Amino acid sequence: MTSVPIHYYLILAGFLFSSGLLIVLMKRNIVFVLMGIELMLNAAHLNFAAFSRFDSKLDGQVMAVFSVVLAAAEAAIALAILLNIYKKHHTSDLEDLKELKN
Amino acid sequence: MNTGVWMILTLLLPLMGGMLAYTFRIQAARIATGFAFLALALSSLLLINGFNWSTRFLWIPEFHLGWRVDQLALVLCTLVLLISFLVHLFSVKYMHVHEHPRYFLKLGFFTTAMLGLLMADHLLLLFIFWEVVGFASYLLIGFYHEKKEAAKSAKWAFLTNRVADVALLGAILSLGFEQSFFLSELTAIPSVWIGAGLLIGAMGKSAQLPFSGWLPRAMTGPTPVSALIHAATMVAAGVYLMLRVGPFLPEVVLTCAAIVGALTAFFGAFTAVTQHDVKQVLAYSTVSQLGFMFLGIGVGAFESSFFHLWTHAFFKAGLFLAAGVLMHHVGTQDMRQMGGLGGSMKWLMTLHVICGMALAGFPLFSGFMSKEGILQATWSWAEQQTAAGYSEAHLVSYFAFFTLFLTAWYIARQVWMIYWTPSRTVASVEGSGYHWQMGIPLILLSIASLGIVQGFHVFSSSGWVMELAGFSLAAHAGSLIPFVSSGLVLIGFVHCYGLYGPRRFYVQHYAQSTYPPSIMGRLSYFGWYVDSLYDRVLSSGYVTVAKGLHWFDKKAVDGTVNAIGVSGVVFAKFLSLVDTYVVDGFVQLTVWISRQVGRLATRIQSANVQHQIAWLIFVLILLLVFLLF
Repeated sequence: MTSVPIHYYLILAGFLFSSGLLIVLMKRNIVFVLMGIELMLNAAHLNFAAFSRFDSKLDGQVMAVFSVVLAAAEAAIALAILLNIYKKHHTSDLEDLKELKN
Repeated sequence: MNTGVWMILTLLLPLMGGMLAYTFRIQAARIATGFAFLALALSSLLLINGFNWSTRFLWIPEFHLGWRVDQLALVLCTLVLLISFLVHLFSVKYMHVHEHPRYFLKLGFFTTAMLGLLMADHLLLLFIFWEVVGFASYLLIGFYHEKKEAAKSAKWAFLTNRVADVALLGAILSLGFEQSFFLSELTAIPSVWIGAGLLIGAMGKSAQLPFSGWLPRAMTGPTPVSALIHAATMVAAGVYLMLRVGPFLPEVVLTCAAIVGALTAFFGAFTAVTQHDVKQVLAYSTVSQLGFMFLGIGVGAFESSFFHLWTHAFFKAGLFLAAGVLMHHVGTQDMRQMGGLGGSMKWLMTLHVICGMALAGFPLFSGFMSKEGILQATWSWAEQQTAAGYSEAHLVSYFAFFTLFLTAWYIARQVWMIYWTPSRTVASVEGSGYHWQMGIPLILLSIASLGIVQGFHVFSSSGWVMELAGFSLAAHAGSLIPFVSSGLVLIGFVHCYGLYGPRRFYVQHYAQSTYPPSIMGRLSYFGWYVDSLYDRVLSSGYVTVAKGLHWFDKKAVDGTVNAIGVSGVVFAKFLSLVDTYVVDGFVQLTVWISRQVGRLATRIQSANVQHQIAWLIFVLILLLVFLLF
């Protein structure tokens, strides 16, 4: 069986991370930013999984599964916070959330 | 105490008196007069006891000044102090009381300066006092300074003297550096230029011809001052200088002095003939008599010149004081408004006539004796010159003889016009108001004008004062000259009587007359137009030059200054531009850079979360780059 070379994975992970970063930096809606963070996190998972394919111990894959669970929990908490913010400020736009400045 | 202390005390007493009078103000006249008398007494004592004094003192390193009081100086000091004292006494009543402090201060200042001039041995010291005396004269001519005429006359006198003094200073300096500054060390002066400089200086002070204009103008001062300064003492300073340096002068300079003297004597007498002002007649007469003294020096008769200086001081001071009394009574000094005063003022007339006779050179009076010496010396000098081939020299003595005639003429005219002709007075003549302070000086001066008082023998030309001053007695005898001169004086009197005697044509119209219409009359009345010549030629030329200079100043100098100013402004503007845009630009650039850096730095702490994340990532990348590479 011919295996997919490692740099394919890395390019894909890089693309994902870059996309996530761009979304985080550019998007104004807070939900989109959260999704960008998820994308970057998933790029990291992909890297774990990819490197683990060339490792007999499979520690990476364990780490990836563990991290996915953590990500789910984190997403839940983050969404809860967002909801609270929305409730309090009646907006989901990052531009309007500048408590520090005023 | 030694002699020097007494000498210095004599020198300073008049000034001290004046200063005390000025300080205490009340009794100013008594204080000043008292001090003048003290100085006179001291000086007389020194003279009688035959004191001589000579000293030198260090002025600046390696440069000594010196005093020397020999017999001649001491005799003249005593003369100055005597006249000064009499004038002080006369002024007590003559001047108003409120004028006293200032007046007596100036008088004392003048007397001290004059004594300093006579006592100086060093030529520079002499020159300093020469100038101080001129300044004192300036102050006193302009005593009534609120009158414009007086201020103008003072200025005129001062400036005329300065012109002559330039020559004197030049001569003194070159004499000092070539030979010696000390009068007592003088030897024959070879340079004609130095001699000419000394002569010109003396001519300025003694109002000789080109410089004569200031003396008649000086009559705007108080009359006692005219008697002291402008008749007896200061104007004789030029003669004194010539007496000192005369024996060492080159022949040419002495001849010049003789010619100038004869011309001035003639000029003064000729001008005095037609003047209407009492004091103007006397002023021109002083010019004329000073001319006689110069003539005497020029022909080498120093002792006779000195004798004439001595006698002239008495009779001319007497004449001026008499004129002062007259003016006090009549309230004018214009002879056209006098006349017929002989009846009410007999004693004054007598004294005036005595002094006038002395001035005219009538036998038995002092003026006769002193003039005789000069005339005889002039005649023998002319004979010598003729023998040497200069027959024109006799012209000089002819001038002198003719002056004698004119002198008798104008003084006779004055006496007749004032005392004997019908009265032309406009204002009512006041009572005589006799004051002994005014009478005593006049009487003393008149007595001193008598021949018996002055000489051993009233028909000789020698006086005891010549011996006292250290001169040898004049040795002229057995000539016809005394008879000729007496005859000329008599002819002068008679001729004048023919024109100005009572009921003559001139007398009847005299009150309205201005000046005789003939050319000679006008020439005489306007003083040969010397003053007009000054005004027209010198003053206007000077004014033209000044105007030209003014124009040059305005156009060229001011233009340059303005150009410099404008260019300065332009340069400053340019500098300010450079400042604004270059220097300030740099500063602004620095500010801008730091502001931008600051702004950049504040972004890090932006309220925007995304900015912060972006910075985070940026710094992370930087760290990675730093760590990995």
